[in-house]
Amino acid sequence: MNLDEYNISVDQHADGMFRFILKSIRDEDKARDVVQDSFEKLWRNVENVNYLKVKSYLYTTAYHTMIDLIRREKRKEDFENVDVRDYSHSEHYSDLSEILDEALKRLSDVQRSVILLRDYEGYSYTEIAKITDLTESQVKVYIYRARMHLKNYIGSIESIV
Amino acid sequence: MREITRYNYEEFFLDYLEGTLSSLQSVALEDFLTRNPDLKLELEEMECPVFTKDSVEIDLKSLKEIPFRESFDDFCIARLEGDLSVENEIAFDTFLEKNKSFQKENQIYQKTILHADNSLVFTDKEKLKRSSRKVAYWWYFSRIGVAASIVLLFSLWSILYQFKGNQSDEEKITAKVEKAITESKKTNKIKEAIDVEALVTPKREVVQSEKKYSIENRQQKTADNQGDKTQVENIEKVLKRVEPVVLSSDIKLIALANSADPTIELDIPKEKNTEISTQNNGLAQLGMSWKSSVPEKKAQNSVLYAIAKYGVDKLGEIAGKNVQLEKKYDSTTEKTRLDFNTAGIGFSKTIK
Repeated sequence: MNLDEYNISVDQHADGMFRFILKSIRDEDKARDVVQDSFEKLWRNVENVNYLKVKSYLYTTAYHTMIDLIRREKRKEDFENVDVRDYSHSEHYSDLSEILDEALKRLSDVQRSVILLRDYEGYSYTEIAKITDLTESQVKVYIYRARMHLKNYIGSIESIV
Repeated sequence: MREITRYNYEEFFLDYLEGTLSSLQSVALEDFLTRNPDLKLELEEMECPVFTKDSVEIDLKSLKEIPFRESFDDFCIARLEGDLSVENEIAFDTFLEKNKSFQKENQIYQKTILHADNSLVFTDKEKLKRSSRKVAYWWYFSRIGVAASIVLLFSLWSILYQFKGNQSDEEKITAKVEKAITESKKTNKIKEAIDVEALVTPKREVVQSEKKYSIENRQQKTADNQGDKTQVENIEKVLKRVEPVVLSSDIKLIALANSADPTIELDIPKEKNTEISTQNNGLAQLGMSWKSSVPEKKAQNSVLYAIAKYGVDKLGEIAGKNVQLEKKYDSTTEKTRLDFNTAGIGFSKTIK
């Protein structure tokens, strides 16, 4: 991969990665940092990365960086005994995207990541498995459970409305 | 015909049950069973009932029906993920059309598909982009190159100065004195910069003495010698005054040397001697210090010798004689002697 291809990759994937990470961790600054770190790593290995596989490389790097970040945050959270989700919950929704947003928050980290990769980027089970270091069957199961969870949450909110 | 043993009897049993054994084989099998009565029971167990066509009724319609009702969630998700085959998709869609109650639930599943918010963009893309690595390398190495060049030039320059410094002090100072004298005669600016009286007076004396020499005859030599003598005395006095100032600026030194007024002194404090002497050094011009390896006294002597030699040479020119002042090293005494060959020139002083 050369310099031009690297810069094209920035144009093509930075936004998508940012959205993926932002939806996963809900912190704009941290999402920005994760994206920057991922591209930094890509630049360091630019000569070893195939341009055709750069998207996968970037998302894999971003995913693992994010997981590390989440683990660190969780340790901090456990230490402080604070559950942010308790404070962020609200039952006043104006549209479906907000409901989905809320439902997404309630998924596990892995479920959220796989379903975001699936829906946002249209990755196949195999590709998601590679990115997340899971087996294809595990990915299928996580997506299945995530869909069920989202459906139940939306159903319950709609029934209330 | 193959013999029936305990290792291949199953094959013969099956053939017997199928009725495909020949008469000879049937006899052999009966004989085998007589010898192995335990296997006769096994043969009886192998005799299973044979179904006739009329006894089985298959519901072909129920076999074709896919269990959408039983596994509705699975099919909804599979349909959503695109995991169903084309036939199953059509069948599932047909099923939904026929069963309105399932349609609503399927619609909720449809809503679980997440859509990216394209308004969220990474704004600092330009910061992520890179410029050419070659430029970076060039920039990096050019900086090293510039630094290396500076170090190299500085080293060469220092070596050259050192080399110059290794020249004999005598040669160096003599050259400087001569150059400075020549320049002092030519340049009016230098005259203005230094004490005019100190410069002009001795020159006039020299010129006058030269005129006297060219016009008057040898009998008038005594009178001329008085002028020369005065000059020499002046030089001697100057030498005495110059002694404490080792390496003054060339121009001032020469001005002093040519001065007729013995009261004129250099107004350079002694403490500044070192500083002045280092002004000739390139390091000093860069604001750096350098201490000469030449001992101070040796340097003083060298300056005095240079001035004296210059004076003697000029005296020789005036007198038209080969007057010489030379340093000679005596290896036996391991001392340097100063030889002054007057070549017939005498010194006299008028006593009033």
